[in-house]
Amino acid sequence: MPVTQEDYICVADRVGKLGCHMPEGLAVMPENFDTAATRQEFVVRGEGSTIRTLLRNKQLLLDDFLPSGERPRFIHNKSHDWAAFIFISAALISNDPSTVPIALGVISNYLTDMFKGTPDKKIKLNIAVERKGNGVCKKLTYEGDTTGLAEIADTILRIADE
Amino acid sequence: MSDYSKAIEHFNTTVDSKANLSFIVRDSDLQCNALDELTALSAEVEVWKKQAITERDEHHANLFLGCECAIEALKAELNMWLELKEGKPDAAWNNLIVAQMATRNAIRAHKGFSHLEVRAVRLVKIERVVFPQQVFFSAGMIVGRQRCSICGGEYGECLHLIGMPYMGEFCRCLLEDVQGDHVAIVKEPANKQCRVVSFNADGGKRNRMTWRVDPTRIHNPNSDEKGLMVDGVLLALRDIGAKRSAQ
Repeated sequence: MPVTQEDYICVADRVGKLGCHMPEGLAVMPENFDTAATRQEFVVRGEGSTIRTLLRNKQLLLDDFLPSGERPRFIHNKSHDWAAFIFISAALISNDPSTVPIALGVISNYLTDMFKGTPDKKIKLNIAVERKGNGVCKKLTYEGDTTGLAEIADTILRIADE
Repeated sequence: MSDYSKAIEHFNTTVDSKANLSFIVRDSDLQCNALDELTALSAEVEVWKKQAITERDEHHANLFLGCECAIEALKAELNMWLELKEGKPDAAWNNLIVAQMATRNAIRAHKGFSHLEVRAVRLVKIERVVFPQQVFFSAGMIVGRQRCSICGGEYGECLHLIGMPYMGEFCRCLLEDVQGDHVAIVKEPANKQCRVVSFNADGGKRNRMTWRVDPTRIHNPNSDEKGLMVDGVLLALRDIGAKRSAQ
């Protein structure tokens, strides 16, 4: 499976430092979450807005890093590569782990429809996973076809349990 | 609701007969005549689509959106062959890309066009076999606000999804408060019309498509010209099936 993983910063610590809201479920992650000096500098990929709509249309809870009333800027790359960055909290994995495969399935189905007629289409999804217990985070990167995305839920849940 | 069965039959018959002309060896006059007939058919489809929208018949509105895209694709394909025969490979490339995008749009517009996936694969093969490898650009932009082309609301806060059809139109994300961020060379750009057209070489500038050298060099008064100078397309705005205001 085309998934790689690496250590990531402690999201909860960063949230505290920047005065953000700590998501309790899924959230769209700013691309520069680990490097922005202030939360006003947050930049979210345009695809993140599509994920918001996809999940909300399926009545899946999507949380925010920014306090109510604040909004990030967006980055749009006119590259055909579809890429996004999401966060999955330990609280969600503990309380409602079935949300993870459902959310990935929703995104995968949309992308499969979106890229019909585009042979060999590759997409990229970065996922910051907060581990249960110690709050340490790992960053998973999936790069592959649109249908394979739905199959990485087990990997996410396993990492959260490590 | 209106009965569109005869209209759809007319569309299928016309498009099938014109698709038979989409080969480089077909007669150019026949291909030109086909373009005229497809333009006329497109006007008919527009009327049917308006009727379906008036009747709030989303199934047929999206079907006719797919028809519009399929006609656009076929016209672009025919134009590509004509331009290749006329020795205009740059223009032919642009029409190939329009054909590819319009075919994908047709497939997304309505499930009745799923058979066009075969045609999409054919167009990718044409790109690889008929044209030389190109160098593509991708522009990155920082955007303050995103607006949905369907409802006008903030994109991401409404129900609509980019690229999906709604009552005969595709949802687009309209960008506001835009600042250029970067330009990159990429393998897979959003629009393959964004590419290096020519670059400075010994004796002038070389056309990346024909490989011919034109004695007029690329000159930029704001550059020291120590690096490689290129002429290219950074942004191409073309939305098939979008509202006029979204283009």
